[in-house]
Amino acid sequence: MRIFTLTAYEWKKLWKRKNVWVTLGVMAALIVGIVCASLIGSTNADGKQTTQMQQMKIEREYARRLSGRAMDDALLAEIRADGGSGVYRPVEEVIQSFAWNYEDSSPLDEESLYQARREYQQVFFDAYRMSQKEQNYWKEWEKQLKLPMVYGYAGAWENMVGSYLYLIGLMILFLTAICVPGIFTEEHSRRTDQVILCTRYGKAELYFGKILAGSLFSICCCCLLLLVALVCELVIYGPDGFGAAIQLSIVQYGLPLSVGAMFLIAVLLLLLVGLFAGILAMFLAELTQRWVGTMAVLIGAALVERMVQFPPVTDLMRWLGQFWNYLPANLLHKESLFDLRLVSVFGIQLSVWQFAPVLYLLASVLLVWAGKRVYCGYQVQGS
Amino acid sequence: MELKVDRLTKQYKNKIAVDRVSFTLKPGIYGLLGENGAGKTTLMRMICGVLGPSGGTITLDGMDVSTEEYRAMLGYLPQEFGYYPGFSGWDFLMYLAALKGLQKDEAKERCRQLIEQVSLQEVAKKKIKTYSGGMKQRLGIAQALLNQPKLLVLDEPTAGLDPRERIRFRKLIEQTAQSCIVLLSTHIVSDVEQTADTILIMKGGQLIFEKPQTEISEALEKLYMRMFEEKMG
Repeated sequence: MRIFTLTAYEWKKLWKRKNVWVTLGVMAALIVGIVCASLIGSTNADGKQTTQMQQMKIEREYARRLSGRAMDDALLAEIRADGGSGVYRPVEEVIQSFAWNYEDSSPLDEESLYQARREYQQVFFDAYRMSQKEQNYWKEWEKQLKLPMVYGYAGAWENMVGSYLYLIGLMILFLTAICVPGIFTEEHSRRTDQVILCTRYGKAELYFGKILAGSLFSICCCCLLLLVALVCELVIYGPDGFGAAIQLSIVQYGLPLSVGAMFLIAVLLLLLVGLFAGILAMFLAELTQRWVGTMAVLIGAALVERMVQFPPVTDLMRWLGQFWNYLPANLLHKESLFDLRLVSVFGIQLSVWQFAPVLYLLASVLLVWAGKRVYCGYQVQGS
Repeated sequence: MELKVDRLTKQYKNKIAVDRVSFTLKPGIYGLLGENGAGKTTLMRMICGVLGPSGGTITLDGMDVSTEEYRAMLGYLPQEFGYYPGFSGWDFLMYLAALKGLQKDEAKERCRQLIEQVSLQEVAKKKIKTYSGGMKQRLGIAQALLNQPKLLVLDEPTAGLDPRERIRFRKLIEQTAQSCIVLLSTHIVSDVEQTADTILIMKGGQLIFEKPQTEISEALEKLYMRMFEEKMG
């Protein structure tokens, strides 16, 4: 119970800082702005000038009408007969993503459409220099996919995973880098360390209280920003399509998951990234005792993670690229989270979203342990 | 109740801040005198467990300085007293009470008592950043007394206090010292002259003098200056 009392005080200290409110407010406003920006302005659709908002509503209506239709010969025949009125555009977009290698996807029948999707998957296998074992893993899962696939409109969920969860992940890295280090550095800069460290519960209990407060803060910020983005998206695009097949969104993916499951997986990973980022920030803060230095290192690392790429031109680059995908600033990118490259652990093949939680939890526990050693071994300095 | 410091040493790269200091303290007030840089603060930090010694031991009734039980009996006012500007005096004391292991009701009662004893009733709910230097120092004294310590370590406690507050502080310490060890460090001789039972003098990291006040025949100020000059010579 004492640890919760101490956590509550740390939490109070954290929220008393203006920079926390300002940073969080700016991030939330940015999300609202970015979500709404795509609906502002005008566009040219089928030769007619219209607003982005109006066009989105029309396409959403078309997509909703097509939801639940099997992507089979009958639907493909209807599309061919339609002659490009736009009513079938949402399904046409999916077909084009399946048959990206074809100059004209209109003559495709049901069988060739799904064959085109498998060819698309093979291109990934080759480009990422995937082993036969990895390819077999995905091919086995492919057999469990129900064909023909059923079209489902899932605008909000696809946008969340495709853009916003990744954006929120980046924001959380910046937010934790700015707000969380102070939990530890403030004690040294304000010289309160001498008073708290010589109290009965000023060592282990307070350390864990601080870790809990920082972790809770990171997770709450993730939830808050997620909620802001999700409410905006659901209001604009609606909650449809939670059960639609993931392959409509990530063509090459082989596991029989729904778009909803894809969203929930990404949310879980976002929370873990948030937790890890908070703990890493606190560890570095206690290690360096410098707030600005810790912030600079964390923000710099996030930027480098995003800027450096490893095209899989050699086996080494393939592995480096695969490792790079696990880093906090990259993990929540849709292409990273649902990467086809696998990790083999004790003979079990795991995809990114299956292995990353273990990795992040393990890294967090290690950092908490190492941080406790640094914190309890701290020697008061200065006059 | 016995604080035992045995051959305590703190060595930095090329400087010995505290050099094989040994003493045993029983309940009472001990005035630790010494010029700036004599090693008083380093010694006190080691006694409070916030600075690890290079050698030697510190025990309170046989409990090592690194234990939770030792810290449970300790009250410390550092020379440079830090605070949280967003906290009120009351919040700060309640936070420290939680850290010292006081239950909520007990903590509230103790905070109320101490706030009254250090005359901060009127500003208790105001933010510490609005406090004067003297008020902050009184708040620091209050936090050191929260857990009714058996060992009270005060590093330059009267800094920033006006004459009236100094008298009040002395009375508070005298009351507290009836059942505990008070180690009071200062470089102002008059601070300890009226309150301390025993005088300790440090110079160059070494303890050069330890005697009850009753056994000191000359004026303390004079003794202190003589010892300082002797060493200089």
